[in-house]
Amino acid sequence: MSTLLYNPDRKNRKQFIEEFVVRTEVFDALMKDIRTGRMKHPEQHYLLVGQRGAGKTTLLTRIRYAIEDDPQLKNWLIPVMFNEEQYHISELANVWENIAEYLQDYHDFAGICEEMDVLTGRQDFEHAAFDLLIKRLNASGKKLILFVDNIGDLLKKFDDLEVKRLREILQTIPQIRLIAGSPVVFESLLDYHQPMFEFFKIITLKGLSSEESQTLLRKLAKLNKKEKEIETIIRETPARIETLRVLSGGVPRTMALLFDVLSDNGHGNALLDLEKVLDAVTPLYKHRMDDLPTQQQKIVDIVAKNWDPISVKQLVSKTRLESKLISAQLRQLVQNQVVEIQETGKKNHLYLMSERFYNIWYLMRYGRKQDRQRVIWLVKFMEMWCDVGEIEERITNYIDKSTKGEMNEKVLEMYAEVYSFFEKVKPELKLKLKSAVPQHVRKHIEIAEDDIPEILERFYQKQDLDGFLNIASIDIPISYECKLKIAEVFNNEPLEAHSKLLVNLMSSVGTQNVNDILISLIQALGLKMLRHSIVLEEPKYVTEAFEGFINALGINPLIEWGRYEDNLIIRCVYNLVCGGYYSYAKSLVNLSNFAKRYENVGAAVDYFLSNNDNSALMKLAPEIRTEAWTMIEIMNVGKKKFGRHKAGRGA
Amino acid sequence: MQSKMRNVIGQPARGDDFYPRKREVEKIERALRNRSNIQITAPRRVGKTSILWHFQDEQLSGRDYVYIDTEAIADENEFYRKLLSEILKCDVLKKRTGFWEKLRNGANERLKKIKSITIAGVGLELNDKEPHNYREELHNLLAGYAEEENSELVLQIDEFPITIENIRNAQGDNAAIVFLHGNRSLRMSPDISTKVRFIYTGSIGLNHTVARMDATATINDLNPISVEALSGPEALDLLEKLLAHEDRSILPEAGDHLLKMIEWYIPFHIQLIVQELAGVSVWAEPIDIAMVDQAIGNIVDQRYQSHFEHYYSRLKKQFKANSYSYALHILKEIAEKDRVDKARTFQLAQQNEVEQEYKHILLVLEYDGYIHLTSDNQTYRYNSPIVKRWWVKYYC
Repeated sequence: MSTLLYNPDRKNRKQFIEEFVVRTEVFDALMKDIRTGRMKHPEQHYLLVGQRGAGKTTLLTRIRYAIEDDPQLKNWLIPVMFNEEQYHISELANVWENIAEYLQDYHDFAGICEEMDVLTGRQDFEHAAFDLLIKRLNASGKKLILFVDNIGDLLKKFDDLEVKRLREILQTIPQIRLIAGSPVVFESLLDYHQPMFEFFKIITLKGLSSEESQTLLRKLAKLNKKEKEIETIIRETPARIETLRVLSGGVPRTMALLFDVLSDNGHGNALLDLEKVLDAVTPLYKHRMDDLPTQQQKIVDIVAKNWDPISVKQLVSKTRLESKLISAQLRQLVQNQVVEIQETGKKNHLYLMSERFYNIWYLMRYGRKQDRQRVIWLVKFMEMWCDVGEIEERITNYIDKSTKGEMNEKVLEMYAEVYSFFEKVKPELKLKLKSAVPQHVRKHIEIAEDDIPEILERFYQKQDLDGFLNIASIDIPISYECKLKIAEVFNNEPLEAHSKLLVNLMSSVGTQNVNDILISLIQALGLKMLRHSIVLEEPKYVTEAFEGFINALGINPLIEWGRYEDNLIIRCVYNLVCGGYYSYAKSLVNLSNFAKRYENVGAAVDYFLSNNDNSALMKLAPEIRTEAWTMIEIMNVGKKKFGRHKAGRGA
Repeated sequence: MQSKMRNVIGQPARGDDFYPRKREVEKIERALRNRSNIQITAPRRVGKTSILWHFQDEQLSGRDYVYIDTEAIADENEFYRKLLSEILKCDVLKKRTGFWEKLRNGANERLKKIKSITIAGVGLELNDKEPHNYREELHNLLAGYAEEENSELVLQIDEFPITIENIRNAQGDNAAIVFLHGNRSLRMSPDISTKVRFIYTGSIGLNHTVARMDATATINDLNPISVEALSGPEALDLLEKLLAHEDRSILPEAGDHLLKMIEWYIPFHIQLIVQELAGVSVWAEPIDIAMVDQAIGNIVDQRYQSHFEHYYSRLKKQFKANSYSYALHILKEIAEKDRVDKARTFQLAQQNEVEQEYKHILLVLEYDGYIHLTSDNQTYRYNSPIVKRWWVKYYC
C-alpha cells in the first residue's frame, strides 16, 4: 500500500494534478474567489470540513499548485502550507517565525529570520514579529495565503487570548488569507464566546456522489491499468460501484483502498486481501477516533459494535450517560459525519455509523475476539459487498473445497463461522453447509424446518438422488407437521423406482448417523409403497416395504416414538388388514412401544366395542381420540376379516 | 445586467462587497455630527462591523477613522496601548503631515509629553523598553490631535464588551468597573471631546455586560444606535447581487417566496441561503420556488448547525440556573406554537420561579435577535422562521 495515500502533498506534482479528478467544483469555486479577490481588504477565509480521507489535504495542495502555476497570482500571492503535524508550533509567534523561515528559504526574503531573532526576548514579541512580517510583505508587494490542514490541532495549542488575537489579525489585516481544513467542526467554532466562531465560510466535503465515484474509479483504473475491468463493472454491475460508495461513505481515500477488491470482481482472492486493506486503513481510522472527545468515543464504540441502528434509549442503558447528553453528543457526531441518522417516522430516530467500512474496521479491531463474533466484520463486509447469488457461489465453493480437504484448518474454521451467519442463502445450500462445517459450528446454522419437505420434493422431482440423500442425512429434529409434509413428497412412481430409493435410504442408515429426516423418509416411503403394492397386488414389494417400515421403526431407540409414528402404524395396519396381510398387521400392532402407549386406548376401544358406549373414549385426550376411532374401524374390519381368513396372506 | 457582490460569510463585508446600509449610515452620521459618542446595538450577524469598516474605508464626511479590534485584550493598560499603536499604524493619519511632523519634532506641548513613541526611520513606533501609563500617553496624543487638527478623529472600538469580560475574568468586577470609568472619563475629557469621537460595539450586548456589574452609569453617555434588518426590497436587491456573482438568477415569484420564508432580513441569513442556492441550482436555469425550499431545508439540516448552534449554546453562558431553564422553556414553546402571548410568558416565569427577572430575560432574548413582540404588542414570535424550524428540529 503506497504511503502516498496518506501524504498526497508528496506525490509528484504533475502526476498529482493529473490525478485530481473529484472535488473539482469546490476547487473551481475557491479558485474563482482567490483570483477575483485582490486582498485589498481582509478576504473571506474558508474552512473545509470533511472526514479524514475526504480529500482536504488533496484539495489544499491542488489550490497551492494552481496559485503557483497561475501567471498572475504567482506574482503577488505566496501559498504557505502548514502540514498536518505541527509539532514545532506551540504559540502564535511560532507561526510568524515559521512563515519567515519559509519566505527566507523559498521566496528571497533575505535576512527576515535574523531580523525576527533580534526581537526575541521582547515582551510583545508576537506583535513585533507579526509587524515585521507585514512590513516585509508590504515592501515586497506580496501577500500570503495560508493553508492549515488541521486548524483544530493548531488552535488547541494557543491560549484564549492568542486565538482572539489570530481572529483579530485575520479580520483586520488584508495581507493574510487563510484556508483551513478540519476533520471535525471543532468545539470552539460552536461556542458563542470563542472568537473563531462563525469566522469561516464552511465548505463541507461530503461523500462523493455516484457520478463522482465513477470518475474517481475510472481514474484509479487508468493508473492501475485496469480500465477494462472497471468499464465492465460500470457497464454490467453498476450496483457494485454503488455498494463501494455506500461502504466507503464516499470517502475518496477509502474508495481508493478498496479499489483492488472492486476490480477483482469478487471472484479472486480479493476477500483474502481484505485484511490487508483493513490494516492499511488503520492509521486513518484510528486518527478519526482519536479526534473525538472521550464521551463521543464511548458513544461511537457502542454504535459501531452494535452495527445495526441503535436508539438513544439503548445508548443510555449501555453508557449510563444521561439521554440529554447523549443526544447532544450525537448531534455533533452527525454533524461531523461520523454517525448517521436513520429516520423512523417517529420522534425517536436511530443512529448508525455513516461509513460502513469504518464500522467493519472497528468490528475487526475492537470487536469481541472470543466467540464467533470475531468474524463478524467479514460477515458484515460480505453482506454489503456480495449479493446472495455470490455468497451462495462462495459457499458452494467452500463446501466443495472442504469436502476435498483442500483448505487449511484455520481458513476452514474461519469461513465456517462466517458462512454460518448468512441466513438468506438457499435452504438446501444451508443444509449442505451444515454438514460440511465443523461440528461446533453446526448449531449456528439454522434451517427453517418448513423448507425441508420442499427441498426434498425438488430433488425428488429432479430425480437427484445425491441431493436427496444429502438432505436426508441432515441431523436436525423435525416436528410432527414437518413429518406429515415429508410423507407427501412421494407420488405414484413405479414401485421399482421407489424400491430403489428405499434401498438407498436404508443403506444410508448403515453409513450415517440416524436422524429424524431419514427415518421419516423411510417410514413415509414404506407406507406409500405398502399401499401401492397392496393395490397392485405385488407381494414382493409388500414384503420389502414392510421390512423397511419395521426397520425404520425399530432402528434406533433414540428416535422418539411419537404421535406421528402411532398414526403411521395405524394407517399401515389398516392397509395390511385391507390387503389381507394379517400377520404383518399383527406384528405391527404388537410392537411393544405401540402396544404400551395404547394400553388404555385399547381398553377404551374394547369397552366401546363390547358395550357400544363411548363414554370411556370421550375421556381420552383429544389428540389420540382420532387414532382410537381409526383403531375401532380397523377392529371392525379386522373382526370380519379375521373371522373369514384366520391365517391371511401374510401368515 | 445585475451588478454583482461577493458572498462574504463570517467576515465583515468591505469595499464592493458591502451592501450600503443607508439608514444606519445616516443615523451614525447624524450622531457624529451632534458630537455624540455612540454604542451600536444589534443582534449578532446583522452587520455592525461591516458598517464600521464602511466609515473607515470611505472616510465619510472627511473624518479620520481608526478601527480597533480589542477582543484579545485582557488588561486596561494594554487596551490603551492597543489604541495608541493602531492610531500610529493608521495610513490615513500618516497623511496628515502637519500632525505627524509635530509628533516627531515635539512642537506641541501635549505631544511632547508622550514618552512611549520613538522615531523609527520615517515612521513612528511604540517603545516598550520601559513601562508606560498608556492611558496618559493616549490622552496626550488625542489632546495633541485635537489642538492641531481640524478634522475629527473617530475611534471605532469593536468587541469592547469582550474586553470587559476578559478583564473581569482576569481581574474581577472591580477592575472591569474601573476600566469602564476610565473609558468614560477619557471620552468626556474637554480637551479631546471637541475632536475625538468613540464608537463602541461588539458581538455581545454592551448594556447587558455592564448591567451585570451594576455599572450602567459608566456608559449612559453613549448614544445607542440600533442596526436593523434590511427592508424587503433591500433584501431582494442583496439577494440578486449575491446570486449574480454566483452566475445565478432567481424567478420573481421565487424571490418573493424566499422573502416570505425568511421574514427577518438580516444579511447573514440571506448569505447562507445564497451559498446553498448556488449548490442546488445550475447555471443558466433560474432558481424556482422548489429550489428555494430545498436550500432552506438544507440550511435547517445538520451541516449548518455550526451557523445556528450559537443561538443555543450562548444561552448557557448568558443565563444561569432558573433563568436558563426559563429561556429554554420559552424558546421551545414559541417554536412549537409559533407564538406565545404575554400572559403565558408570565405563567412560565412562575413555573420556573423567575417572576422577578423574566422581563429582563425576554428583553435579552429580544436584543439578541431570537424573538420579537408582534405589532399588537401582545405575542412573542421568532424573528427568523428558519431559526424557529431549526429549533423545532433539534430542541423540541
